[in-house]
Amino acid sequence: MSNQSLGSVFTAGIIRENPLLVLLLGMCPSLAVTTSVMNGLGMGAAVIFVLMCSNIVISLLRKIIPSAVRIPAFVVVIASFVTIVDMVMEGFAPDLHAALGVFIPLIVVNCVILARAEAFASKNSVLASAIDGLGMGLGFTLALVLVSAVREILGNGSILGINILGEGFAASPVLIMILPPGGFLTLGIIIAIMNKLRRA
Amino acid sequence: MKQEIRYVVVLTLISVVAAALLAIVNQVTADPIAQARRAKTLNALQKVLPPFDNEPDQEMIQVIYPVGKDGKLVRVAEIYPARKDGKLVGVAVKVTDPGGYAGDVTFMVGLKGDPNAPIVNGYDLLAHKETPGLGTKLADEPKKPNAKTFKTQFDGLAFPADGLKVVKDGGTIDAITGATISSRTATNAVNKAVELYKEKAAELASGAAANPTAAPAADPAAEPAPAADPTAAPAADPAAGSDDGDDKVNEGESPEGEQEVDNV
Repeated sequence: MSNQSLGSVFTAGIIRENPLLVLLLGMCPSLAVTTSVMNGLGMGAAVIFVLMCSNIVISLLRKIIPSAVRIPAFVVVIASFVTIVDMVMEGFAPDLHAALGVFIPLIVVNCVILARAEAFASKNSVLASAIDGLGMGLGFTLALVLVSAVREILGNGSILGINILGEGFAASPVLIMILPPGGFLTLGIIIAIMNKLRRA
Repeated sequence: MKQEIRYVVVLTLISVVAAALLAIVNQVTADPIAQARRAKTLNALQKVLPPFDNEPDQEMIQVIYPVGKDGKLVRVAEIYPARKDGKLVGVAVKVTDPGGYAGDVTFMVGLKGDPNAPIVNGYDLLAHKETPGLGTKLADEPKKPNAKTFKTQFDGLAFPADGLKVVKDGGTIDAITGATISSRTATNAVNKAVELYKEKAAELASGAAANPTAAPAADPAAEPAPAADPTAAPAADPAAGSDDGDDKVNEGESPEGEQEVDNV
């Protein structure tokens, strides 16, 4: 893996190994917060930050942390960054914080982050790990935005809160799309399309 | 053995560094967080109260009330008196109804007039876990002036003597289609707010008599800690200055009081 060029490390996370659509990691927060594009972007930004920071720190410490205690060490690092995001967001972006609610603390258990720490950052250089974190984070964000755009357009007739399908549609949208079943439907169909495209 | 000691040392070091870092971030964000929470309360108060010139959150009264059938569970209500020229012009009651479709729903209910026959002055939805697109319509504001939503039914509504009910229960409030349970929590919350207003009416009114200038500085005991911090004031709410009450207060208050009201 360490022979990979940095460019391919970066793009891996966005398409080939997209954490949500290909690796199928971090499904729980993805299904829960993708009811509006704004939520998807906010969650994505928080994940990018945590993923980059935790990848960098874990990569820095990779020779110091004994492998027997690596998981608790990773979790402490990840949890610290998540707590920082939580506090900063509550102080400076309270509306976004209110919308994302419990899903910010839950980034701690988002498997994308622990998986990247384990599979990549603990074996690669700091720079490669940072780029992997950025690529994976962006890939996760793009997938969230894609899912949430479909759900917001169909379920609310709007995108980023701006009505695009007209008053008539907004009055009686396809409500199921912003309810939990809509999350599963959208994600399932997008993953199916993704699989088809990758095999073609 | 040596290996085990290494585990302990490494994990301890990581934890200590993490804790120190979090302590620093906490220091930095404590004020903005307190300020954001207070701004949220003040914003809700402005929405449901007639123009006022005191600082209702400095005179807030907490009431613990039982909920549910056996009354073993309790919720905490907060009553905010709004005064203008020292006279009580309305109260806002932050009240939580546990009967939402997905648990607790918290409202800020505005009331004015005689506690025995009050006028409901609207509400603001503060916290809930209702279904998006159904129960969340509790918070919908009219898109055009004079348009109607569920919420506008509560603006300037004379409170009936036997309490508010949705049409389905024999009352007058039109429930949100597909969200009768959520609609019911709104009527329950308003009923509870009126009940608490009646209960505390004497205390709220006498607050004005004992303290005619309604100067918040005179009542340090009721002052929540974050509000006491003048350094937190510059993070002003962009909605500042739209309230009629501002000028009045700025004339005769301490600098601290002035800054805080600018925030409103």
